[in-house]
Amino acid sequence: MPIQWILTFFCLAALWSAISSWRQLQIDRRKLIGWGALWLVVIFIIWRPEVTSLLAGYAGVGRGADLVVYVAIAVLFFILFRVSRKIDRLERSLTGLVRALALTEPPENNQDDRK
Amino acid sequence: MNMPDRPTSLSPNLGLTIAVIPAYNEAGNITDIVERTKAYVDEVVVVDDGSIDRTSELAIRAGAKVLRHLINRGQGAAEQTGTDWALNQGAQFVIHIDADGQHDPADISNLLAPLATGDYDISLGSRFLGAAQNIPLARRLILGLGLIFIRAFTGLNLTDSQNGFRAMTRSTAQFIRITHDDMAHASEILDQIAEQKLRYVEVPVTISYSAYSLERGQSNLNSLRIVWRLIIEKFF
Repeated sequence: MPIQWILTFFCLAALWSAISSWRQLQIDRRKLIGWGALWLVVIFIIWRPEVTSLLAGYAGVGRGADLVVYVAIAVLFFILFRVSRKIDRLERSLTGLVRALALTEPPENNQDDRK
Repeated sequence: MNMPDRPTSLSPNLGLTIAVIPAYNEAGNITDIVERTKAYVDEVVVVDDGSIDRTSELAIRAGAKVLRHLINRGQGAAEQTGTDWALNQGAQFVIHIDADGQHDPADISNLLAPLATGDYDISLGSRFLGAAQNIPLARRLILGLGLIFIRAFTGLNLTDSQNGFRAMTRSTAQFIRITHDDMAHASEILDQIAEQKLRYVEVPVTISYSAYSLERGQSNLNSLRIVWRLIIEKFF
C-alpha cells in the first residue's frame, strides 16, 4: 500500500537524520541507539501491523491501531513535558547570564561622570 | 583614587533606600518617573531590559543609575537584577515601581512607613484600598479573578494581588527570589511571602490607568497564561 511506503520513507529519513547528527557529534551514541531503535520498530510495525494486534490483545485494547495511537499520545506528551522543562531551564540560565553581565558592568550614570 | 560609588542614606533613621525601575522601551516615560521617584529615595536604579529606544540615555540624564540587560528578559528578571544590585549597595529598603507612569512615587513614603517601625517585612501597594483611576471594567474583572486565584494558591487574603508597587526590607529582599521572568513574578512574590510567613501589609496607593499604560501592561489573555504557568511551576 502507498501509505506503507510513504511512512517507511519518512522513518528512513528520520533514521538518516539521527545518524547524521551522531556523525556530526550533535548527539551521543546512546541517543543514536535510542532513536535508531525507535524508527526501526516503527518500520517493522508498518510492515507487520498484525504484531500490534497481538500486543493489543495482551494489553486489553480492542485493535492494534488503537494501541499504537494510545502509546504514541502518551509518548508525545512525555516528550513535550521534557522539552518544556528543558526550555525553562535554558531560559533561567539565559536570564542568569544576562543578569551576571548587567551586574558585572559598572552602572552608568552621567551625573557621577561629570563630578 | 577611584572609590566605589556607594550611595549613603538621605534619611539616616530609615537607612539606605533604593528604588528599582525595570524598563523596556520606556523612553516616553522614564525621565518623568525617575525624576519624581528621586525625591523619595536615596538612589534610583533603572534596569534597562534590552530596550532599543533611548530609555538608558534618558534615565541616566534624569539621574538614575542604569544597569543593562543585553537582551529582553522580562519585568520579573529586571526587578531581580535591580534588587541584587541594591542589596550589593547595602540597601536597607528596596522599592519596586513600574516605569510606565501608573504608580505615583509620592506613595513611597506610605509604603516605607510600616517597614520603618519594624512591624512588617514587606508593604504591598493596593489600588483598591487607595485610588484606581480610569480602571477599565475588563481589567477590574480580571483583577477580581486574580484575587480568588491568589487566595486559593497562597492563602493570602489581599485586596490587590497584581500590584507591582511594593517596598521591602533588606532581609526580605534577600529571602525573595524572583524566578519567573515575566509578569507571573508578582504572584510568585506573594507565594514566597506565604511560604516564608513574611509579615506583609497592604498600603493604599494610587494607580493611574492611561491608554499608554494599558497598552504596555499585560493583556487579559496573558493573565490566563500566567495562571497556567504558576500552576505548572508549583506542582510539576
